Amino acid sequence: MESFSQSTFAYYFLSLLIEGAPFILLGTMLSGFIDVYMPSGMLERVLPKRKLPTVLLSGLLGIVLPVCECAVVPVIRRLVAKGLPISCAFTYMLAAPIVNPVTILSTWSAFNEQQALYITLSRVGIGFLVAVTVGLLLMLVPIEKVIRKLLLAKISASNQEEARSERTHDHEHLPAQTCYGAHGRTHDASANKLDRGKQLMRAMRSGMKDFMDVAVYFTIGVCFTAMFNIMQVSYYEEINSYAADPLKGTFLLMGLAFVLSVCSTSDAFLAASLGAFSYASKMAFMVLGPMLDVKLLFLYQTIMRKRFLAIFCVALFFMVGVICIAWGEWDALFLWSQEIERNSLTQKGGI
Amino acid sequence: MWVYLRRILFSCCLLAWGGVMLYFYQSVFIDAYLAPKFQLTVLLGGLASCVVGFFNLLTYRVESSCYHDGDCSHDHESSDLNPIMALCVILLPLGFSFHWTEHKIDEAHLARQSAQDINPASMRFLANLPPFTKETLDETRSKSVDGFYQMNLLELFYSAGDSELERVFTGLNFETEAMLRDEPNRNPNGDRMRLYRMFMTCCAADMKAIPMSVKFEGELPDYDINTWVKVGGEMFYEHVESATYPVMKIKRVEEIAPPELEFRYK
Repeated sequence: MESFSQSTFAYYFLSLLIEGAPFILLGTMLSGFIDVYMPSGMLERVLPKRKLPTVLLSGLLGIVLPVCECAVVPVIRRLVAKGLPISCAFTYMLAAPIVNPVTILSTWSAFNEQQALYITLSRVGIGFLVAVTVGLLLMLVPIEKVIRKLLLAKISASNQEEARSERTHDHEHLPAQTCYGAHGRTHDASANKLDRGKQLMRAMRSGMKDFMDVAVYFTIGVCFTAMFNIMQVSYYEEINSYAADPLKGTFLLMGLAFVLSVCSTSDAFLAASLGAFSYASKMAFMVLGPMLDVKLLFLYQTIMRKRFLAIFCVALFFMVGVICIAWGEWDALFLWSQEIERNSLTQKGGI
Repeated sequence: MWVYLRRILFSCCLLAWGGVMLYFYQSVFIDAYLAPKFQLTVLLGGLASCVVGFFNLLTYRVESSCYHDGDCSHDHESSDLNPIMALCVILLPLGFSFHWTEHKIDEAHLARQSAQDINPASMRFLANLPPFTKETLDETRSKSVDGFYQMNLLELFYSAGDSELERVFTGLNFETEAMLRDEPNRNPNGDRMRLYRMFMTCCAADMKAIPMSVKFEGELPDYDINTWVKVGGEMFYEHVESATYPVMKIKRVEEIAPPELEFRYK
């Protein structure tokens, strides 16, 4: 890499890091508090019984349960083990990192002055569409072909345990021991009151753990991005030859999203900086990244069978690519958001 | 013991990140790293990171596990990552970067970046510009003593992406400030130089060199490369293949001190 400069790498690295770190912290602390304070059975109680509305609703759950893609996989694993339908679980897993307030806010901020309304609405819409499509398709697939044998066994055991627990749970604790777990039952009101501090402590520790898990991949992603941003100046012509073509550019950036594994809460900042690429390519980067990347590939193996995982990854990759390219050709939403922003600018006056 | 060590190490890592964010927030260099709209989040993120880090550090010995003997699978601290490895991955690049950074792009990289041509029309977000007339120009822009409209280079550059703006701006005199270098492209007679400014959308990593050719009558001025200048001249536009580029016919040029960091990347 003839153009590599330590000082420029460090400059870029630090700028990306301090820009994204507050969002990473916000996301992981929220995740920590949800982990401790939200009863795991709550989702099942809240969701409708009919499958189609349940899948649609699951795609929007990220708005009230905002988690990034790193945090959502362990949550889904737990929920699937508790018997949540896989169609709902996968819809939530794919949509939540995109359809959540933190990501929406960061996308809006990153594309400020670059059609923020258009990009943010589109990202949320496409993320939701892809997640719901995957969820609906999974309704047709037997759970045995999707979920790992080990997890299936847990589901079965959990169902039996749950039934037993429903009957005997109140008697399992020793008097001095209190469970603050996320299973939504209050065992001993006075003990709970006394130990709220410990509950807070557990949430903080859970948040810190999530932060560390995510920060590792974020740091690696930032290193790659800083290097890519340096290299792209030297290979400007070559990259531009890809960037100018929506098809090549889209698949190039999707490959980049897969490799970089940047958190969904801050990937919009990277996408916004890839100026030469079309909006369709940037959109594919921002939609695929939270759904499929190197780190998620490893995390998904804790849930899915290998054969299904391979099919899932290939199908997801092409589905996102095709939808984003088609979106890039569709101008209706762009023209509508342009009209809104133009009116807003005209009211303010001046450029 | 291992659990305690892990809590201490993770807390220290949070404190380190918080410390870095707070350091940059109070430093004069923050404007070289982040656009103003993100600077408050750095302060809040730094404070929050330190609070969480201190809280977990001060309570690392306090037991908080759930004493279930049944199906309570809520271990809130277990992780597949090796804590030492995680710390190395997180802190080493941070430490090296802190040591290496000069708070700017190095000269060789800057030279390559500023030599690139950008087609203004390829920036779709130019569509954000409102309808612009000579009247709005008079209302919203101040003028120099000799009657030149004072305008940011970025706005002059963007005007080439909009036929209405081109029509209004063509033939008018403008004044702007930017860095000056040789013109590597579209300079057949050797009578041009290039004005450019580094423009930051969010952070330094997304900075782009926004260029505009300036045409001189007579000899080219003898300034060092990347000298900050204030120029005044008449705007016109040239169409090359399918792209339109802004060009200023220079009427006056003077060397100025570089703007404060706060205004340098806008």
